[in-house]
Amino acid sequence: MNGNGNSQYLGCAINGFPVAIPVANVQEVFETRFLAKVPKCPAFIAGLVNIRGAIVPVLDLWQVEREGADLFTMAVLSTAEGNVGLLISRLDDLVRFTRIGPADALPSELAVAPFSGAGLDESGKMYFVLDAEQCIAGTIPRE
Amino acid sequence: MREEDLIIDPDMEEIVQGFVIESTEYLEHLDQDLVSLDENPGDMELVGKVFRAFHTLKGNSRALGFLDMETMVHRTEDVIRKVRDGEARVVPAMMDVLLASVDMVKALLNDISEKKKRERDLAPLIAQLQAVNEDGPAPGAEPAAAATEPSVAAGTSTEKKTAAPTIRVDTIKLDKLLSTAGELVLSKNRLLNFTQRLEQGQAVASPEEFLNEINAQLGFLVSDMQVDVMSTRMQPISRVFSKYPRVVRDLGRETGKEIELVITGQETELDNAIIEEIGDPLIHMVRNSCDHGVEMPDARVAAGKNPKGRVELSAYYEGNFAIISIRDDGKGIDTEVIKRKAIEKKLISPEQAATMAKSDILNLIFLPGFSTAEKVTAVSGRGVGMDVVKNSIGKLKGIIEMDSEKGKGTVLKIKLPLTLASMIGLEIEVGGIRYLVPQEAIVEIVRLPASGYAAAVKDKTFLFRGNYTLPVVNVRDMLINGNKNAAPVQQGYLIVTSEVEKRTGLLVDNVLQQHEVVVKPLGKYLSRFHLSEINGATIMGDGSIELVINASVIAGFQTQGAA
Repeated sequence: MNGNGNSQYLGCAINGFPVAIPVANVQEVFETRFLAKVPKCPAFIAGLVNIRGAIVPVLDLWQVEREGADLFTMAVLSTAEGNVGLLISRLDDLVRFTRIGPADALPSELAVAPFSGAGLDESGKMYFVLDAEQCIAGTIPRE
Repeated sequence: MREEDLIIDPDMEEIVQGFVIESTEYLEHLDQDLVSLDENPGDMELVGKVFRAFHTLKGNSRALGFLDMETMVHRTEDVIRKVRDGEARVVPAMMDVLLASVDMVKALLNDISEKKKRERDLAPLIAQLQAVNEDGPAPGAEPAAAATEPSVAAGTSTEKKTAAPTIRVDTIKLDKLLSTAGELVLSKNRLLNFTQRLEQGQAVASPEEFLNEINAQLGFLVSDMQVDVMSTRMQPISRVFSKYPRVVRDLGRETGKEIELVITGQETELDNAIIEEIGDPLIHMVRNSCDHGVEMPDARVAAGKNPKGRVELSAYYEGNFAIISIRDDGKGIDTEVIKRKAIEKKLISPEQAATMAKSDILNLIFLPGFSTAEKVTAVSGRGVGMDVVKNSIGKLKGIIEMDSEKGKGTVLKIKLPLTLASMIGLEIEVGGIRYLVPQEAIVEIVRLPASGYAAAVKDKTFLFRGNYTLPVVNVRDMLINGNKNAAPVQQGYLIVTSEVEKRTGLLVDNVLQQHEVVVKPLGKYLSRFHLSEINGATIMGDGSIELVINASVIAGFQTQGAA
């Protein structure tokens, strides 16, 4: 578990599930109407996005339902594999956790990516904490 | 080897960095000059130049307190001093020791550049230098690089790590850039003045005319600026070529062959990105020519040739490309041997072999897993085949071609774009998505329906044109469906692409327009997915992203499938 009670997390919703991503791993939250499709890729690679001149790949790991009409919302993760956008349904807020611990049961809908545990914020709302680095590393095909 | 960190005073870092760059240049020249001296032992002007280089290196390393380096250079300088003063003669064995010293100095400089303090045993080399200095070369002295690690020998890829990511730019180029930038500011001010007048509601005479004029002027200046900036990245190929006289000399000594290396066109300039990457494949090819091409002196004499083999390395421009050619007058390539090996390795069938053209047979060498070396030698049989060479050149958007005549020699030609920074691409549409095809890959465009376009053998489509048959690849199948559609599509365009005398038509839905674009790589993450069909991506004028397709991979699929 790499988080502690003092770290900030980006609280967001993915298909109705509350998910928290450590802010240290988030470059920015970006919205776009267009993704450039990349052929011959696994289906979870949603496309490419132009972020101020940088070309960033965007992943859709959960067939994310878009809440912002026709906008794609993504958390741009800064990882060992470079910046990678991860589609989310909605951005909530920055959250801090009063308690953080292992997640007892992860909903099967989220099972494709690694979650390092669950956290409770001040209001008692629970979030599943995403391990951003593992999440991206886990999508890379083995040589 | 024991190593610890080398502490450099932060105030001194810049000076040390400059020292490393300057010394690297001296050492590169020394390699070349020592090899020339070996060939012309009486050239006293050259002796003087070599002496001065060692002398400067000694002074600089002493001033910065790099004592090991100073000692090494000092002892080497002593030997050259004797030659300069006429007290000693240049002999090959002396050169072996001097070149080994240069290698050691390179290794020491590499340590400084990597900020490491490594324990290196200088004593054996110093003893050899002393022996050479006192009474000619010591009998049985270890020649060449034996005293140092093999990894520091000239021209190996480890040198790249030491090269600082800086380039030297001619001040004339910078002045030109500055003056273009100045003009750009003037045009911007004119535009600013114009908009201010509009904002203040002042009458502006013929605004359309003004906008057209300023637009043209800015367009002109911006493309000027692009050319100027690009020119600062252009570096002479001599930076790469200068390493090879040493490599060829050492190879000659190792293998007992006599090889003359003739270099022309050293001043040919290429983009720095290409210069940095072309060294490895090129050195492999030079080694190949020396090792597999040029015969042993007795074999050459028996074949009625000069006992001394000749390898010509040249660079020149051809249109918008730079050509690097490596020609040897060695034994050439026996196409029968190639055919046999290819059949053995099941790369082709005996029936195919019987009908293959000479150029196709020679091209088999570039297939993965093909190596005709009778035995693996330390020189070129390092497990890197010509397929790796071809791939590295392909990454630089280059093309490699080979021609050879048994008994007469071999010539390899590399065709490279002058720059990787921008390219002209043709925008095409496939399945509703727009892509770019590099202009240099396109030979012609055929609009469908066209006569002679038909489905033929099995499920493959061909275009029959006059005296040749063009296989057709449906780009939609390649990029989107991933499988082949049996019925040939009758509408669209064929982008005809060629590589080494092979042509293939790429079927696309629509052809749009040409763009000059800057190609960006897809990045680390996507590189893990080995999308060989895609060269990179580019950002268009409206901010959208378009992918640049690799025409040769897409075209190659069908030909590979047929083979």
